[in-house]
Amino acid sequence: MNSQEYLNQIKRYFAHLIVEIKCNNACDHFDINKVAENFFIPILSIVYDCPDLKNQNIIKANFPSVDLGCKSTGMSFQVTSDGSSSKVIYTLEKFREHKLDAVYNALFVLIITEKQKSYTSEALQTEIARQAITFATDVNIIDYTDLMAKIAAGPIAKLKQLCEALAAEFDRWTDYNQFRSDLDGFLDFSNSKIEVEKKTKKYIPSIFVEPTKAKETTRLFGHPVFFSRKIEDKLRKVDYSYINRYLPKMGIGPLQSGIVPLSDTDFPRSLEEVFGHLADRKRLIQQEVKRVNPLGFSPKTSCPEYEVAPEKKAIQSLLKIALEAAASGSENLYDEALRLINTAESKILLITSSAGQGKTNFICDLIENQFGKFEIPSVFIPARELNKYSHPNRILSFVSQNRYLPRRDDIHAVLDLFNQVSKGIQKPFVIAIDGINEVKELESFLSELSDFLNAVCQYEFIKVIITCRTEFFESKFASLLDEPFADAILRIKDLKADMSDESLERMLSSYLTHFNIEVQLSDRAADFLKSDLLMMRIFCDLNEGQNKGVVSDIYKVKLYESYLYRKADSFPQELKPEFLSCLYNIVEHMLSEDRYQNVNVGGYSYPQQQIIDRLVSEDIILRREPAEKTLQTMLDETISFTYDELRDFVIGLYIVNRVAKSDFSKFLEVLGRLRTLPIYEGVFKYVYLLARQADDASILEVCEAAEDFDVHYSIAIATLPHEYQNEDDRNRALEYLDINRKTEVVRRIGIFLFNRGKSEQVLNRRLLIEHINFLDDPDVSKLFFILFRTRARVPSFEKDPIKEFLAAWLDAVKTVEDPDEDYLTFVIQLSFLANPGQQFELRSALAQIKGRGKMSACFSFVENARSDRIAGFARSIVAFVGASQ
Amino acid sequence: MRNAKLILPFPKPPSLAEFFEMLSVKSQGLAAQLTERVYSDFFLGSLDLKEEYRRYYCVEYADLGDYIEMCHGEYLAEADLSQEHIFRIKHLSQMVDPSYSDNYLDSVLESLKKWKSDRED
Repeated sequence: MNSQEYLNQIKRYFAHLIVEIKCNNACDHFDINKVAENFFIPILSIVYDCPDLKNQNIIKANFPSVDLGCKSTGMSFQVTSDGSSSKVIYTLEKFREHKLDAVYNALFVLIITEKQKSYTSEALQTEIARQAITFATDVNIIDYTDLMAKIAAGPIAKLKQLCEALAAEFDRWTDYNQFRSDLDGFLDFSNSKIEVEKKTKKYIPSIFVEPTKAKETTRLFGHPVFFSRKIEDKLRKVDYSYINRYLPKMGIGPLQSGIVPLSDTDFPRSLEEVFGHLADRKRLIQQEVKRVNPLGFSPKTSCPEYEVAPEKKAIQSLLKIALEAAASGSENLYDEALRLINTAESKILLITSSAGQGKTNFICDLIENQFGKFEIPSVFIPARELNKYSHPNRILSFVSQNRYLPRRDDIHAVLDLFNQVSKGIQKPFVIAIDGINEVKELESFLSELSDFLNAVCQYEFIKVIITCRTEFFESKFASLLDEPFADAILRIKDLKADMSDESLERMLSSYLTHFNIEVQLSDRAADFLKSDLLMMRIFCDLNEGQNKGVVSDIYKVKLYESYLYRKADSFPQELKPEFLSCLYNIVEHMLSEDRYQNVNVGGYSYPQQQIIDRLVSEDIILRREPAEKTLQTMLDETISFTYDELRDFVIGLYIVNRVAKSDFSKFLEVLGRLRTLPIYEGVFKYVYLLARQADDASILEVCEAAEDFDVHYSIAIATLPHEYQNEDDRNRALEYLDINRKTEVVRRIGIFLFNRGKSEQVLNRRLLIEHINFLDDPDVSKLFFILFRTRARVPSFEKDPIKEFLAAWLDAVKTVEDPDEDYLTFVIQLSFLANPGQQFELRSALAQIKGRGKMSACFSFVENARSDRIAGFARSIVAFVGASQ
Repeated sequence: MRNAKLILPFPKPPSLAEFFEMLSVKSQGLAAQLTERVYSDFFLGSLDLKEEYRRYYCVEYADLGDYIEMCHGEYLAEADLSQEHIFRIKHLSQMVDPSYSDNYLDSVLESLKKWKSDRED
């Protein structure tokens, strides 16, 4: 091509660009203006010979006045679609205010549409006169025609270079347009990984119950434009009127807040504006905190303005507490607003939690539902998938497998594209990486992740969510918190901690429905499952599709055994025989190394390796552990049992079923060796329980002869399935209720009996109330004090558990027609320890029950108690017949 | 009291003067100073869940009941949901704080209930 042909081609490119920009602006798609900043970098570099021209907004967010700058030539450019004089004046004002003349000696305002025919405004001329640099409207305000004119006189090589640069930029820009239109396809493909999580039951939407606090955090994090209005709501609640009631009385002028909360209508609508607004809010809030803090409960500084004249000191001391409360109340609201701003501004949301607490469920639901409903573009990356790609491009390679993503050679190019999309739709682009602990080469991945997060933080509108198991994060990824981007990290430390009782109740109900389990759980059984989400999962996995009827107790020993059996049975035929041997191998390994977690499983047979891989990937029985690698162990897995109690069970199983049967002296030696270790209590419990189930007299004899057997028994008995309870247990329980024994044993046995209401079981509440009736004064009082972990009642402000227990019963009995007989008997026995006021209430409530005649056996039973105090109170209850007393 | 949990479905809230009147409190006395705090906790410092749903949560939750159940762990009957306001009270001043044995929470709630039903009649 000759010079003229190159010029024509360049002109066509510019014309097309201007039409595109005008059309987009007409449709309120102002994102194109931001795209233009980067578009013009190579163009202006060539035309103005400034090879190191850079986008200043990338170097520093919201860089004032100029978008592009070249430090070597001193040239700077403001790229704008607004060709008005006022925009030029504004640009020049900011250039002057920020003293940019110290960095740049020339400023050009590039109008990416078309500039005005003339710029004759007086205000503009005045501002130009105030500048330290030379600025001429006909030279420094430019549009594409000026670029064309400047280049036209240049050598053909430069024209060719410009033409090629424009072609390349248009290719990129066309990619961008193409990508915008393909965005739905891109996101659908990215999030199709969530479907995989559903198939493998890592994500079960129907059982998901949102941890409300964590979800609220992700709202503001993921959609600042929409949810930052909540910060204004918070500021609206700050009310100085209480403070101002007191200040004038002390001779101090009233406070006037410098913050005027915005209405929804006035709230900024673009990401740039919102972030600018939040930065401004933060500054104003900090100023207000400085004003109210000295008046509050814990002033950090004193303020001379609040000095009180001597004659006002008396009134000040009178109003001090009221004023401090009002000021601290305002300060708290400001602190909450600052926390919300921090959430909105954060770039990286880090969620750490222990295994099985619902991280994958949370993040999948977040993307599928919350972000989905708000159309927030997001990419879901299950971190274990990154193992398919090589360091240092795992993340880029994963993202690039999506055919809708235009080809990009480095992560910055991809992030730049995401950022542009984000600007276009005014919502952050979220990249979610789930379970970074599942990446195998943790050391190399840490550096890759660090580089990736560093890159992300250079793009204003890209955000990242990462989930990780807590212990992995602490041991392998904690250094991320020392990186330069650490300030941009917001951490949620424990998902389950955010769950209310109601949420857990809903979760249990959803689990049972999803796994199609018909069951009536007692409160105790439900509490057991709600206390540990992993146990809930195991229980439901195990009983899928079954009708369990009434379940009053769930016994871990049975649950573990059945679950391991079910798991082994689900394995391919060739792996089944190896399943138990594999677990026993791990236990042997633990016992031989005296190390009960972080076990290296290198050197196991291939089938056993396969079993371990499967169990680790499920994360329910075994989990991977972070480990220091050496040359010898670099390819080995390091694992632990996910659940310490399951480990103790498997060790118990191994000792009872393998060791004791083959070599009893070795069994004694192993059990003896564990005695000083923390795991002894757990292992002993399962050895005892398994021996009870198997009725293994030799092992039981050893256990019962062990030191502190009463302590171990009091722990184990609650988990012994009731069908194995016998008369010996009954006698032992009564023996261990002797108040002269160890307090912890008496309390555990007593509470265990009280909680077992079913009289068909050998050990139950009836046994306890019979024992109480048999005791004399003062032993019976001592027993109650042990059970309630309290002491003889003396007037005090301390909590009184006996009083609270009786008050709760009084509340509950109002709505219950026929209370449980044994429970009622226990209440009658306990009532003598109530204070006189409560005794009156109890006597009144009990009199009405007695009057109904149905529970007369309970009353006569207690009237015959050996303790005079118990019997005396029972006899003082006179049956009342009537509507109310 | 921090993190109290009181959900109060209510029609148009009373004015401060009406609140004083229903509790038989004289507006210039010491009781008024204490009671004004309660009024502020209930009707000014609280969160109106109905308004919150309209402004923030209607995109995510199909209806108001779902939102209150999922985010605040409370199931509300249709009659409660149809009230003009649903106040979620997080802070309760000492006078109505249930962690103090001699609090007036029940009395205040009872008075509000009566005031509400008088107006409904």
